[in-house]
Amino acid sequence: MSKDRNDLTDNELVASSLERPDDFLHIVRRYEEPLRRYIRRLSAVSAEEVDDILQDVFLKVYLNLNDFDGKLKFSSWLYRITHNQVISAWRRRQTRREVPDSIDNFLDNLAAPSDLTAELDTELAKEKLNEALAGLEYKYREVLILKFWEGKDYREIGDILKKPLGTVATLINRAKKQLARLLDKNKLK
Amino acid sequence: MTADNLSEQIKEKIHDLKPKPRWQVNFKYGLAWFLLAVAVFLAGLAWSVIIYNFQVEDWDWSKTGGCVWQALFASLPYVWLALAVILTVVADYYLKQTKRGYLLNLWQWLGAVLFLSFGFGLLVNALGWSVNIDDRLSPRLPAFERQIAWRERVWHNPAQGLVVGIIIDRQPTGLRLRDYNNMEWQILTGQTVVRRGAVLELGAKIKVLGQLLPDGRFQAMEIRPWRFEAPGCNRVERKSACGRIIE
Repeated sequence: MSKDRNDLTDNELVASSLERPDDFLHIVRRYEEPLRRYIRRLSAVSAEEVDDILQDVFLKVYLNLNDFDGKLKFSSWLYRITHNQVISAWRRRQTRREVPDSIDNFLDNLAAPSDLTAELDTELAKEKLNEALAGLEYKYREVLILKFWEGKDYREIGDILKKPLGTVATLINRAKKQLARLLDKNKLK
Repeated sequence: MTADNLSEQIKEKIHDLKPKPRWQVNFKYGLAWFLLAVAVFLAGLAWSVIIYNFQVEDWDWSKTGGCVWQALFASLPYVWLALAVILTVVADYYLKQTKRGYLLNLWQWLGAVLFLSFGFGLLVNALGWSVNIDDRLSPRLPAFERQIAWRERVWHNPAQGLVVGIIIDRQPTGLRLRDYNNMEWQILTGQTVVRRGAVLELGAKIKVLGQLLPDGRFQAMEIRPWRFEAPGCNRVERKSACGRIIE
């Protein structure tokens, strides 16, 4: 792939992909790893299933390229499609409450978000934190992951989940409280 | 799956695929806006009939002699209210299908849809079209006959001085009515006030306020239309009673 393609912005790559399908692979390479991590954090699926979901995501993105109009961030639009594909896959498998299997990756990223870790005891047992997160209602788990592990702001979360900003703020507040309650219940505080 | 594997698999698959054309995307959102507009339009028609029903309702429930709440519940246009609510929910669904509809919170979209539909309903009512909609569509709605019968039972209370019925005969001394039980009533109309809108013709339904006489006849003090909808009356404004006395 030519270097200049890698320097293009997301929006420019989208426009370019519509004329030259091969340019779409730059989008794939740019977002494959972030989306792979996001799918693993959000769901409780095997590595093979993550790959399947990821492939479905990119195919769906390609088919719907003309639906992206540049009014929101391309990454938000991409995450939205990914989120919906994860939901669809879950509905097919009905595995919403399973525990994420990439515990080490999960906790490696735990150190990054300072505003959440400031509220948590850093000596938490891996299993207890994992249990607490898995014990959250899905709607709370998904906003926490987007906010604290994917680093999305409220606007981006709203665009990804197609919810108004006020609702996003409320969900995050409630998610933090519920997580704190679950951690307290598991005697982590 | 390695990065290269995924890229290769994607490359192979998109070779046989094409992005959906822009017109198809635009059509999808255009359709959502169109269906939203249809839902708001239909909700507006429902509101116009609801407004009309409230305008023609006889709010003088104390005359029924019974429970005021019962009179209230008998008067509400339930089916139209249910339709307005359902169509508002449908409008919300299509609003969420638009590109930016999700940015509105509950109160914003509800306010917007209600503002538009209710405003449209007021306009339709002001133009006098809600009468036609009510006349043509209300009888086709489920439970319409049942609600009319319920309303008649609430208002028909001869012992309390209230008779509701259809005029089946006109006589020099008064009228003959048949009520919903198929009972006939002889109504005496000396010195009776006839409220505006009451049509004293065969087949018309009226309310008669007065007194039940020992011989079973009914002395009328006031005759009201079954519903206040006299032709020529301004249906937007609630005019005070304009009656005449029958000699």
